[in-house]
Amino acid sequence: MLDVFLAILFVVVIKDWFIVSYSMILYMVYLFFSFNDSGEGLLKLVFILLSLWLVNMMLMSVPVILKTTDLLIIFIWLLLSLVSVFYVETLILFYLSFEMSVIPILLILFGWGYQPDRLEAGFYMLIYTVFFSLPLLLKIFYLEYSVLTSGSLSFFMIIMAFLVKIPMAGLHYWLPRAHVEAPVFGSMILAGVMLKLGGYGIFKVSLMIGDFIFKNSQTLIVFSVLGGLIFSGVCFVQSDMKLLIAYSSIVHMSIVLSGLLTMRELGLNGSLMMMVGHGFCSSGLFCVLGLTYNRTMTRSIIMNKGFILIIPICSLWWFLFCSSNLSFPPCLNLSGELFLFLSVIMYNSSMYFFLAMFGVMSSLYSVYLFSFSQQSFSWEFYSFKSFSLQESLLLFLHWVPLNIIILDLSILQF
Amino acid sequence: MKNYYLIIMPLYLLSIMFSLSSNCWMSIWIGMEMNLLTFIFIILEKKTFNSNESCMKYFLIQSVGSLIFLFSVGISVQMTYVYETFSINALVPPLALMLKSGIAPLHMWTPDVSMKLSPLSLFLFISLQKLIPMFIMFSSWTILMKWVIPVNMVIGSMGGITQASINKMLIFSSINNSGWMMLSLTESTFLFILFFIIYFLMNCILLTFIWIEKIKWISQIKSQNFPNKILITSVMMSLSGLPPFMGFIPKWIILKKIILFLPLVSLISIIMSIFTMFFYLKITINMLLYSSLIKKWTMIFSKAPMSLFFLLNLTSSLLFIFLT
Repeated sequence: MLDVFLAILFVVVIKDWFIVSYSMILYMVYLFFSFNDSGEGLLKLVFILLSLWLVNMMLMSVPVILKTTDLLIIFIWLLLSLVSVFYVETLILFYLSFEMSVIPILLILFGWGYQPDRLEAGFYMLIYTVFFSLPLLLKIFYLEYSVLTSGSLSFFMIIMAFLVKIPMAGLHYWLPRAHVEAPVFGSMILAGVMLKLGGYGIFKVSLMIGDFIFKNSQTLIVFSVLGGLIFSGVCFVQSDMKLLIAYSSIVHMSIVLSGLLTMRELGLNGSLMMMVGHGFCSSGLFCVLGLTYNRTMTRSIIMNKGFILIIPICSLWWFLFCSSNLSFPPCLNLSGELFLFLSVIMYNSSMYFFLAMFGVMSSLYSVYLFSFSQQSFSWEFYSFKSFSLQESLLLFLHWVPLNIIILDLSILQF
Repeated sequence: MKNYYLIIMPLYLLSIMFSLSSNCWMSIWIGMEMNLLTFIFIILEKKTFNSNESCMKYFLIQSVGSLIFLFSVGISVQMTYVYETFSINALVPPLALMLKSGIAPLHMWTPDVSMKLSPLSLFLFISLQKLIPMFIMFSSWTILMKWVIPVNMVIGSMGGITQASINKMLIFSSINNSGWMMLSLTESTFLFILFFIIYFLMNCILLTFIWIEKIKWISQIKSQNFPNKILITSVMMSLSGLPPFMGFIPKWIILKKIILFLPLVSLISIIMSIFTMFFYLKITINMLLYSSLIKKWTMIFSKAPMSLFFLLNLTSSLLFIFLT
């Protein structure tokens, strides 16, 4: 993986979007050959592949007029920081790259967002992330001096950074704002890979002080499931489709968090599947939303109606991604959700009621999203330019890995 | 005046060296007086609006500080104050030095004076002028200084948030950074030198920019030039201590060194660094958001030293990745 990391450094000097994208595909093919690892190495490999894939999708989704060198450099910086987050071994370097990955997103938000509110959103994101991750830095030093950790204060000092990044319900306020203000490619990578840094971080920390985290995380497991339940309800009252998708990613990540914190093998496997599946799925949803937004110039769920009559291919992609979002069978989210539910039920069997409600609610909002945006008939729009081949390819490349991995789940099993 | 800097600057640097290398209190005092006089010449070199007034204020406060220092050192028989940390005799000299260098509890005069300073003298005021008092305070009053550090951190970061003038903001940032300097001096002189060099470098870049663009208020910071934009943004992120940049390295090392014996101070320092980050980034946002919808510039790097600094700033802490 270090060779790919170094190879990305060489991509920086290339100023051509096509060649950068091409070389990233080359790196992916190269990484596929090292898929014989197991354990933590496999996890790293999967996440690096995910971030390479999604950054490539990002490169594809940028409209021609924005394809400038500086955006490309920010993308490569982002990719570099993501790869180094997943690659590095030590906690201090993990922290360093974890913090570093915020800055390219912040620059994308400031430079390519289109509303004045992006300032507030960017500061929200930056200050939330940095404020909660600086205590982690102190605790990393304590761990390096091998001072015994105990008590809930040090637990929260360690884990808050990841809870904000995932985000857990209650610490999520930066996420919807950042998503609303970010351009399409920004929210694609934000939902696709950035949220997974939190889950990966909890996994990484639990390799060293897993018993300590398991001992203190009892309430968090329940709280996270309840938070997911509440936020799947919150999804129904959103009028902005981007907010709805952002809240849906909070819901998905909350069940990932509770599954991870149970520290069962089932939970870890399930959370990996869910994270990869959610990475592709939410990225694809934001992408298809961006393509819809380019045509209708509105994200309101009231205005976007009746696409099934006007632009059926758009409706098809909305259907495919919404169905993946509600964990419809050929999708990776299904297995992930099942595993996570099982791990939480095994942890505490009286959670089954909340989990059942969670399953129903979290699938219903995807149905709601699809039926309210695609069905009925439109009173505003009459015709649109159909999806071009490139746009369809972009969505196809989101959908295929999402639905093909279920044929062999052993590649996500570590 | 033709040979102004040829005479004044060497004298100024000599006074710092004289004071730091002397072995009795009296010659330290002499060095500080030399420092004061040459610094007043540096302030007076450029006639700005009311620069005489700020010069006068500066002179009065500095001479009061020096006199207190001289008096308290003179009446004391003991040369070092190691064993009587909180006696009144021992408290006066460090307080006089804190007054002279504008360290936090006695910092009230600095924002006023700084408003009328030229960029060069402001730069010297927030960097080199801190050297002598800092070293002398840590020669004898280390235990007292541990109480001053959190005060500096808090006042520097809280005061900087509301400032609209770049000079006052830099003064408050220097108060916060002098807290970090003292924190590094509790560990070792080497750490102080590391921190100080990086702080010096970043402020040098920032104040060169301010000097060239003739900036006085934060809202004036906007640049149509892309290299300047990335340079100043990266310098501000570096000052705020965000990880991939150079400013993170000394803070990382300091925190790692002091965490075991000053846990509460390190917690305060990192919490306060959020506020400093807020106001450092606040001055870049005008620059970051100041552009038309479609970018008109292309990527041209500026002159070699600047881009070299930029690369150093960006990649220095990334080099540690090969240690993993």
